[in-house]
Amino acid sequence: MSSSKRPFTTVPALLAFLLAGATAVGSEEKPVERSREQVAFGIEVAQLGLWKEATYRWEKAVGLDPENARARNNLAVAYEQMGDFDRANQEYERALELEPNNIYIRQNYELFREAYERKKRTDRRSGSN
Amino acid sequence: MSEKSAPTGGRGRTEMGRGLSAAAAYVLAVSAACTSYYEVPIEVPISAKLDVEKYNRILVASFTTQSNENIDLDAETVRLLRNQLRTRSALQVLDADIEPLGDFSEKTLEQSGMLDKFKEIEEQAKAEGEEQISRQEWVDLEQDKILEDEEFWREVGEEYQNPLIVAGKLAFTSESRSGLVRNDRYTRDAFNRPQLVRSNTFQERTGFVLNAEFYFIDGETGRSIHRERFTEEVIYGRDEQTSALSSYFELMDRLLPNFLSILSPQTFRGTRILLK
Repeated sequence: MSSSKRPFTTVPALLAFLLAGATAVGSEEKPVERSREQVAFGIEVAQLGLWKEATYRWEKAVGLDPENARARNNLAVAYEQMGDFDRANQEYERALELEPNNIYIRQNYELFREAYERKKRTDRRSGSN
Repeated sequence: MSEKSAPTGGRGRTEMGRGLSAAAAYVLAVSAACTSYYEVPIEVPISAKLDVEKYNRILVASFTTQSNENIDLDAETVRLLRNQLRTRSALQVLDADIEPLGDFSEKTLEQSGMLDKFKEIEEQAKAEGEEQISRQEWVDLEQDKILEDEEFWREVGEEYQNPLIVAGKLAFTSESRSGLVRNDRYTRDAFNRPQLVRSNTFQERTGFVLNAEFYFIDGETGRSIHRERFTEEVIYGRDEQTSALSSYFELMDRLLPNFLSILSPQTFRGTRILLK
């Protein structure tokens, strides 16, 4: 009796094993997916004001998927928030290269440029010695 | 909330082409609609230009001045800066009466005989074949002598327990800015079409210019550790009847954020969009 049940118990176990394996392989092979997860988590922490953690997440997201324009946009916002204007500029420009028609990135970039230019103007106008 | 789809720009001539571009537009619209965005407030920190950690106290001392207006530039600026620093910086602002550094206005120079001295120097330089300098350059050099007198500032510093000292040069002048001003306006023609009409009209205007150079001096050594120069200008129409004093305050109001940003960090506020 027990021997007749064996095939039915082994099939689900085998399926479960295969699925688990497939997921494990999948997670290793899907950096794009993992990049998206990091982006989402970064947004959650940024909304709590934890910009350093958010920066870490989005840097990781960009590392996993350098073509992720959204991660680059968010990273630019984080750099801007931290006062690192040069790196923010670099990330915005890269994000726009990847998604030139994205109105949100464009809007962020335009607002950023305004602040950036104002800062540069202030530095220039106050000819410090 | 979702993103609006951008125009694709695809225009197929054939029916199949039109179908394909419509499909492409649909795919784009759907993918765009899936974008989640989050608006977040940001505060961009602009760090102070000068490291003032060493100093607990600040002394706004005095300014050399040049003006053709009837304003006590030195006293007004010292009072204004002290008030601003009291509310907008972490430094303790010292109230002290410092002897004015000097007025270098044309009228004062003439009355004190300084202009004659300059003429003598000019003639001497000419006779000796030395390089000549303009009167303004000479006035600047004279002001620099005072502002870079380390011994004098060290004495002031000693008297007030070595604070950070602010001094500098101020020049406030009014000049005629009358002239032709371009005047663009839209009118409608007989067919109700808008038309741009350009014209130049003569306007009588007065410009007020404020040049300020701030010296930040270490009270312990008497040495200047940082200098910054600002120039602001405002122009009024003749009918606006704005006094020199209110113009001065308007220009100082523009300059103050930049002055304060030398000593304390400032922030730009705005909103940005995060994308998922």
